Amino acid sequence: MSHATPFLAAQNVSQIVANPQATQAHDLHILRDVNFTIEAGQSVAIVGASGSGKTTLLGMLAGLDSPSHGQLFLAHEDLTLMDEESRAELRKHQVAFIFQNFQLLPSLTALENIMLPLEVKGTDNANALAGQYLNHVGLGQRGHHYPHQLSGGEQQRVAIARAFAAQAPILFADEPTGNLDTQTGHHIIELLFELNQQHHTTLVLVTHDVQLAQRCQRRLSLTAGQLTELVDV
Amino acid sequence: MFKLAARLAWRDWRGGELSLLFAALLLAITSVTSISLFTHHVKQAMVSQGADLIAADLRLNSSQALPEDWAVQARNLSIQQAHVSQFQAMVFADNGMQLASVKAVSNHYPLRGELSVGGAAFDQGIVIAHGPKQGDIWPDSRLLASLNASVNDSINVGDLSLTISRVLITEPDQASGFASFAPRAMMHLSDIAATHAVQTGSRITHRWLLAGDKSALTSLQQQITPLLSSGQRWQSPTDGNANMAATLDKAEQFLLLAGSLAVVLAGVALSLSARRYSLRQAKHVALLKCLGLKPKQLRLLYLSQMVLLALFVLIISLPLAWGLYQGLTLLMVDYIQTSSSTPALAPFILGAGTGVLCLLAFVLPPMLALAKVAPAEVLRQSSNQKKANIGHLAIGFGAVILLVYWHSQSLLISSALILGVVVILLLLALLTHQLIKLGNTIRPHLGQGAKIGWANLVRRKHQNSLQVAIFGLALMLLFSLVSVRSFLIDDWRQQLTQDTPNLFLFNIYQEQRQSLLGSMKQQGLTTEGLTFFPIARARLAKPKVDNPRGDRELNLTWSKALPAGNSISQGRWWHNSSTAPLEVSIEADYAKSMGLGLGQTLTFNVAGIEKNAILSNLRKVDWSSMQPNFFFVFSQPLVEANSASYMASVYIAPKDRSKLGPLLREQPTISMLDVDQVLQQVQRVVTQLSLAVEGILIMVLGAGILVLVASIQASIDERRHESAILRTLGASKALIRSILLVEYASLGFVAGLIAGLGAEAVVAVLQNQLFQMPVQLHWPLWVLTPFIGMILIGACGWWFNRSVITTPPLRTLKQT
Repeated sequence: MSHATPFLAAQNVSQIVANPQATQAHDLHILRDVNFTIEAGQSVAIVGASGSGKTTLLGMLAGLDSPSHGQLFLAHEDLTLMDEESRAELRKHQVAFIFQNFQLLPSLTALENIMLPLEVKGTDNANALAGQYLNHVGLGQRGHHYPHQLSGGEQQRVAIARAFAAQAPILFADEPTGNLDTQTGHHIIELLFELNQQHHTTLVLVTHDVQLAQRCQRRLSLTAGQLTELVDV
Repeated sequence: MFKLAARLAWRDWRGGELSLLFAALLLAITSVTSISLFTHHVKQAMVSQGADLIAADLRLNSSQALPEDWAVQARNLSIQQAHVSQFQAMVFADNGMQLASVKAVSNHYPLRGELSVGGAAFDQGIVIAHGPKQGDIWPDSRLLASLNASVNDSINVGDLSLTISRVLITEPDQASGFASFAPRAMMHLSDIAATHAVQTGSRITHRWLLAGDKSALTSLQQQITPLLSSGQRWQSPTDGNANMAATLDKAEQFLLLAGSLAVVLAGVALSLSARRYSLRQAKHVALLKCLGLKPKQLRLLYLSQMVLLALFVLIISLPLAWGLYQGLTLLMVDYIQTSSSTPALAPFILGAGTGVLCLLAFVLPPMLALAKVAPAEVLRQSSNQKKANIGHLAIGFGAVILLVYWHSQSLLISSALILGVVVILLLLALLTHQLIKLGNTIRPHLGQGAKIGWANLVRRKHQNSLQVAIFGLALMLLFSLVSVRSFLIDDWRQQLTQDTPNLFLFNIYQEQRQSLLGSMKQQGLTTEGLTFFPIARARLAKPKVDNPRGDRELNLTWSKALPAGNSISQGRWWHNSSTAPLEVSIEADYAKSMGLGLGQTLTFNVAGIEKNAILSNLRKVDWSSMQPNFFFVFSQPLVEANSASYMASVYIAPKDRSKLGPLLREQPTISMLDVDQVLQQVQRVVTQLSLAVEGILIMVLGAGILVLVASIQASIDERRHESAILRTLGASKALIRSILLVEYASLGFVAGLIAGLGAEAVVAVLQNQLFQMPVQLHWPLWVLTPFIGMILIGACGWWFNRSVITTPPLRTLKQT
């Protein structure tokens, strides 16, 4: 691992989707020449309107997808030089996720959903650790309930517990409050930042919730695939 | 990884995700294994019935005595043995004498089947385990009647005086053709020498009866076959009786066909449920990838899960299949009996092998392909419903071909089925597309529920074409099987009606015909349907045929009309037989084996006089009709009417059998061949087989229903989601129910219509090619099948979609 490379960065990243019914001139540019660098421990919000390419950028930063052009760095590693196998290995140790639609497996209980990343890593005391995280998010009594028996806010709390249980240094969150009402969303934001501080995690989140974006140290704005950094005045 | 796979598999199982896949695999293995076990059992029963007809598992017929060391070889292989020698000899009693066919048997005779004896002529027989002991003789009812003797009298065979200890009623190996017209006497083998009736050069037939382990018998047969001389030949249970063999053959073909259909149906069910499972797993895979699982690990994960599933299903399905088979045989214990009850290993291997192959071909490809799901899929809001992968379909189809061939071991069954499946799938997809388009035009005139139902049908036309194809395929296979079963059983039953002749009368001279009829009437015996066939004996002089059959003396007959049960396969039957030159008609297969062709002039030697006849037609003969059948029929009498002898066949009811003794005493010169026992055996087999066929049919029907369920389940998620949306928009339960009913009933109607036509085509090919029977059309099938499809699929769709209506819409929407 070379520290000459940035911790988390995009360098000249573009994403182009070919339009099957048109010529090259009409190809869809989801991201255009995106550049930024994020230091370890920072919290960064990517904001923008629907369809501006926020989720695509997040997915690429996390190594879930590859760009058409440019370089991406995750935990000092150049993602664009890695195949799917190595990216998966990197994710296993470095990355955790929180999704807008929670992505809890419906056939697993709340506790088992939290155990899943620990089991994938082969952690021995997955059950006990998962129990601790479940208590942390205030759902200690709901461990044996299935996702469909939980409210949206409760499901997102389980998802947050799962993300922190992975004990990864980088946390990506895609619209974590997007499916929740304002009050529940507020509780979730508090929980997210509280845990983030406790674990010193690098947090990258995508949102159009102004309140949430304000809690982050930096805010990057995407408009029609182009990125600008918002500076407080 | 295996531990993680086991944990995830257990959680999927608990959540019901794996249940349909489990059910499909369970059904595939259970149905194939139990059908195979049952087929094996029926085959064993058939062989055992056949074995009864030769009184052994294997028999060597020989015109000369057998070397001593062969018996030693058989003993070394722990094979049971018995010897039978048969010859003709005069039997003398105080009140008469009669030429008899003497059967001398050793101690262990019979090895298979039952011997029954009585205390007087034409008694009801009592089963006895062995033949007569030394010094005893058992004449049959005919011999006893013609000798005017009774039990405890002494009679002489050649120089030896023997005591009549019982009357022979039935013997298992009685049906040794029509060669022995003389009445029977059974004595002990060791008494032959003392009779002095058998001298060097006497015509004597030796039969070496063997029974025991199949592999030991095969091994003995292999050792001895190279040493056989021209007058020695093996006889196995299946070639014991042509009539029975044909019946058994058809039954076996049916069982193989049914087994193959079960495999196809199980494959389709598995393929459908595997597809649904893999679609539902896509998000899981994306999430697991986000958590850092590599594609290789994911493949290993799913492979391990499938291995676990296979093991679990095998552990349950094999004993279940055994139980089912036991239940079925228990139900039919009175009808289907085998001598051996050892469970065969082969059906279990076949069942397990089929399951594993199905899993590899239908389930594994979509599972392994899951590893290709992009991890970014997890960020998408809606799931990406992928179209069926052509490669996976090709693998599945290849596996079906392989499996059908493995089961049927018949290229004909395999190709007829595969071709039928391909054609029906194409036809179904095409027709559904067109019908749905047509429905578009009538939609404006329908009620609200029907309108939305039709709109759904049109919107999902590709998916619906596939679903109709699957419904249609399952229905077609089921309809085919039901009609094959019906015509097969009808054919068997027709073959053996209640009044099938069971008594053949020979050596009747012209002037005796009236007196025979008179005697029969006097005894109160029916003479209805009794026809006399003239017989002359002759040899084919020219052309010289290089075939042992051609050198034999033949029984010939002549007739103006085509005999009943015969049909012309080539040439024309004669019209004006009295003036035209002599013509001859020959049984088609016989003519072929002799190399004789239409228009050829043949020369026959009839009692020293040469007669020329033109071969004017070839006939197909129904050998199973139990009517007198002839290889050669001439257009004009070959001998003077008063020098011809006649034969006839007649049905004697069981209650009238006691009247045969007095009849024979009145007509002592007439010979009689009683085939009642053979007929009863055939009838028993037919009853057994009919039941077996019904049992198998029920199992295959189960497989068919599972395919329907799997197919309905495959689209249930989508329907549930749509219904939830409709209900939130204010649709009543009744409206949703009517939408579902319209959708499924329409699909069922189309599927039933095409399945009926497809089944007709498949059945016609099978009737013509596989069962060698005339093709019949079943028009009620065409009318009924659309409605059967409509009701069956409408009902299945409604039943399995109940949860679509009853689940609160909010829960459905939350889950998706």
